[in-house]
Amino acid sequence: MTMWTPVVYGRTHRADRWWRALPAGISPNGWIADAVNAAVAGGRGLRWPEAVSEAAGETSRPEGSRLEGRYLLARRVNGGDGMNRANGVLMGVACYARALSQEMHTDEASRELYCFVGWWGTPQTPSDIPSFAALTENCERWAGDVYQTYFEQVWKEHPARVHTQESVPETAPWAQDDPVADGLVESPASAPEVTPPPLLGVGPAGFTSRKDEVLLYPASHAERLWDEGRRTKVPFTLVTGWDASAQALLRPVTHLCAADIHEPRTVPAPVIAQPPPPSPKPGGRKPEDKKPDADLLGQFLTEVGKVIRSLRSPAPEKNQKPGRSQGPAGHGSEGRPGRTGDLGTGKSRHVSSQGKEESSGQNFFSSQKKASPPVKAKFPEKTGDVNELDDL
Amino acid sequence: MGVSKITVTMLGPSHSGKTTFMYGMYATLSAGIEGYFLNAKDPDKDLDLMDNWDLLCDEGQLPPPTADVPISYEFVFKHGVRSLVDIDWMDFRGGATVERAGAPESLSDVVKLRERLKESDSIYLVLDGRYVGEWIKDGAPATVTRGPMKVSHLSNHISRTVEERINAGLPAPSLVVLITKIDVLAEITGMPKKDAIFRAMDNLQNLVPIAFSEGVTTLICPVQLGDFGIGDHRKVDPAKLDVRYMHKPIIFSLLYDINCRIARDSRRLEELRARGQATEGELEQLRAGFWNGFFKRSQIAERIDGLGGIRAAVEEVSQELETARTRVDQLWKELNTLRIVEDGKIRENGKSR
Repeated sequence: MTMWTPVVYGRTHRADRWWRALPAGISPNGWIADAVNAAVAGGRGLRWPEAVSEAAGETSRPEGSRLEGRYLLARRVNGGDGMNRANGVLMGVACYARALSQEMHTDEASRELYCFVGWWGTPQTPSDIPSFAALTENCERWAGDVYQTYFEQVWKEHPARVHTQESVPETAPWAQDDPVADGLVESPASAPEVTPPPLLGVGPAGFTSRKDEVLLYPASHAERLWDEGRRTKVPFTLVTGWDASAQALLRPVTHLCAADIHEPRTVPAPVIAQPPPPSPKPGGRKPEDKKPDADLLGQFLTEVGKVIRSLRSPAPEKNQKPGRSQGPAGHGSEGRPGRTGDLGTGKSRHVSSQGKEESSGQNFFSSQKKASPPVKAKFPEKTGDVNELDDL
Repeated sequence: MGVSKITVTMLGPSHSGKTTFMYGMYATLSAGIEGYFLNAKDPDKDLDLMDNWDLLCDEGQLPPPTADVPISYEFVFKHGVRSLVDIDWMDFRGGATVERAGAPESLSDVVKLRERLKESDSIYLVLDGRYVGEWIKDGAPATVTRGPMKVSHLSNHISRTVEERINAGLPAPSLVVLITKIDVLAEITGMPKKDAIFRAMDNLQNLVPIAFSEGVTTLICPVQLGDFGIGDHRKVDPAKLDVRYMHKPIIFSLLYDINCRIARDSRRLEELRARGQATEGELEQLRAGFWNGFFKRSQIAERIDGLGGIRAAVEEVSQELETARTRVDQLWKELNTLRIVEDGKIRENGKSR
């Protein structure tokens, strides 16, 4: 019999700490965390539990209703988490905490909390994993019991005393319910032999998925996909229960069911952003501003230009007085600031005469010797009255 | 003027109003103020933000608590359609500031927040108006070493960040002390709202001494989402929505960045002019004497070449400075009546006190 270990994600009333329980050796930063995050997505788009709409205190769920949430089924064969224990299957539900507990569901600011309750294990056969129908029918009770177990002792505890608890393997609640007899999972002997119709991303051995794509399905495909996931041996992450696929977190999802998808299709998997290189402040210029290749090319061309110019350079005019300072007037446009620089571009350009350069340059720098602002950043002088704030 | 990027990080305890502030800021500025706009670069993020804002406006639905996976936003601040600065924003849960980052199994958002602080050009310290009200009611005492505002802990983060950046030769980050939920102040303190705000601002040095430190420039900015008052706020009454001042902190961050660039460019301009004058002097020396113009023509050409480059750079930097100063003039009036503290001194009507 497969033992399953609870995975519980959610904060308490007082402590803004989210990993409530993890199996021993499982990292809160590994694939399990990524998969849980894909289902929880910061609570975005979670459905409000129908049993507790506006009828305060009403705890009974309408007959036949299922727990409103996003269901996760994921398998890793090389998880890479600590102690090499993460290989296996993770499944569970992301939902509003109110769906699992009528007492423990808001924080100190009365904000409704959301959570994930699931189980991690290494099932030997597909029937070790409950069917989708069984899970959704019973999840309120199964997950509710786990939620109660891991939250009730710390719910209003001081944050300094709230830490991630190490969860222990236990007999799965669906196994305790005598799953075959209760019809929660089908027995291997009674498994239907009917071959299901072909489906995008599903092969004879279950899921076929590529790392660079995510398969999107209509919500109605959830049960079929869940069952394919139960027998799939390759890594995958299936999340069901989204209303709007555009809101979904696609990393590390391989299969996703959403109400706004009408035909199975694929979308590219999200690219993981690489951290930017360190900022080179305080130059003010960011790395992307620099163009090293262009700079090198520019320098090279500048050098070539110099050689060519030195070869072509005319002899000085005989009547030119060395060191004479001349004004810019009457010397044409070549001497204007900004026209002869081209630093960095390396484009060689014609300098009509050395005299023009000299004369315009002399006045250019001296004429603009205005007092510079202070180097330290300063805001302008205030003209408003800080005792007004009339518009508050 | 090139598009630079500023990194903004908010520090504040859980449910102090960080996410709601960001929604309000975005909603206000995406509609535009004085021709300036804030847009999310990713259209999907824009839709996320505006959907959440619409839920708040239509149904009074406040944002849910932020989980331990921070949400990243890339904004661009524009004048008309022209991009002025990119803004790197990340929404962290409040708990990330009070957890340890050194343990091998530390959560990635705790580590990320610490790393990010080092790169932050602007830090917002968020004070929950409910607790500020209690503090005023208690006589606005100094030495608040503990309590729900976590001021001493958050100040420690800021102090370390400022020191690390200065030691690394980087500009100190600008600081915004954000007092959220000011609509509750009157009810808690028993004073008129405005009096309570001024009582808080007048005594803020007791509560947040780091904001009055040498080398730190701070904006003190009270903000509110609406006139909801104290009480159970699972939802708020959309009819009482009355957003105030939520756009001002980011304008301050932008102006601080522009001012840093003005200072940098001014220094660069001085250096360029000094280089230009030196090069002119060298040119004069090289041309001294009857034959130098011929025998030293290669060196002379080199100096002339250099002068042209310097002139172009002076033109470019001067133009950037002029544009930057125009931006400051345009945006400054948004902050004109708010308190700005420079090196511990409050700037008031052109003077410090």
